[in-house]
Amino acid sequence: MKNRLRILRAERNWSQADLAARLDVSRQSVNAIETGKYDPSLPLAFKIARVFDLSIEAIFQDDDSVAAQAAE
Amino acid sequence: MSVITQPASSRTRRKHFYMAACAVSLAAYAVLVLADRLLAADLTWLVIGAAFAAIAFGFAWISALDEVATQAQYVAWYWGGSAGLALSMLILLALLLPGFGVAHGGLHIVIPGLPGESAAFFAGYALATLPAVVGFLIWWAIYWLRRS
Repeated sequence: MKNRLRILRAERNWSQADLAARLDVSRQSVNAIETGKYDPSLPLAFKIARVFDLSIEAIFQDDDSVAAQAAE
Repeated sequence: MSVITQPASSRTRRKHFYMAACAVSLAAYAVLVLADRLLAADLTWLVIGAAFAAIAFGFAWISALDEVATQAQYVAWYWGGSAGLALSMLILLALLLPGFGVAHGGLHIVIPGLPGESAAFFAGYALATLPAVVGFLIWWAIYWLRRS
């Protein structure tokens, strides 16, 4: 699953530790999610969306939708 | 460009507190065991108390982990713990073989220095638990190395 966490974070000048504090998770967890090495649960995905004031789809894209976009 | 900093979350603070409390309890346990042996004082209840405190704080620490760290625990116990248990079973089956069996003191071979019954008890306990714990630690480290 791809995501725009790094970009969104950079736009707000937040470090990984800042985002981690806002999400109540560890910095290592933010890094794992940001690099696409861990897919967050739905509750955490909703929490991330709320923190950035965006919809989940605006932050996360599954591989199928990425492939479909590339094919268009 | 200024970086907006955020104080550590309540979960992180709780996690660090329980981790420190668990470490202190473990240290107290080690000191009390040493004192019990060196001073020949009867500190049994204090030792048990320290051990229970370490376990309780350990559970509290684990319960304060976030979902990625919890997943690391699940995966590490599932794969590493299972692999360790499988190794324990293999060793157990090997010990049952004639020639290298329990009948020939197979368990005693593991720790030759200790007296028979103590060595057998310790080796049996270690055989059942250590491979699973080592497997867990290896898999846990791999999980985080792949995600760092």
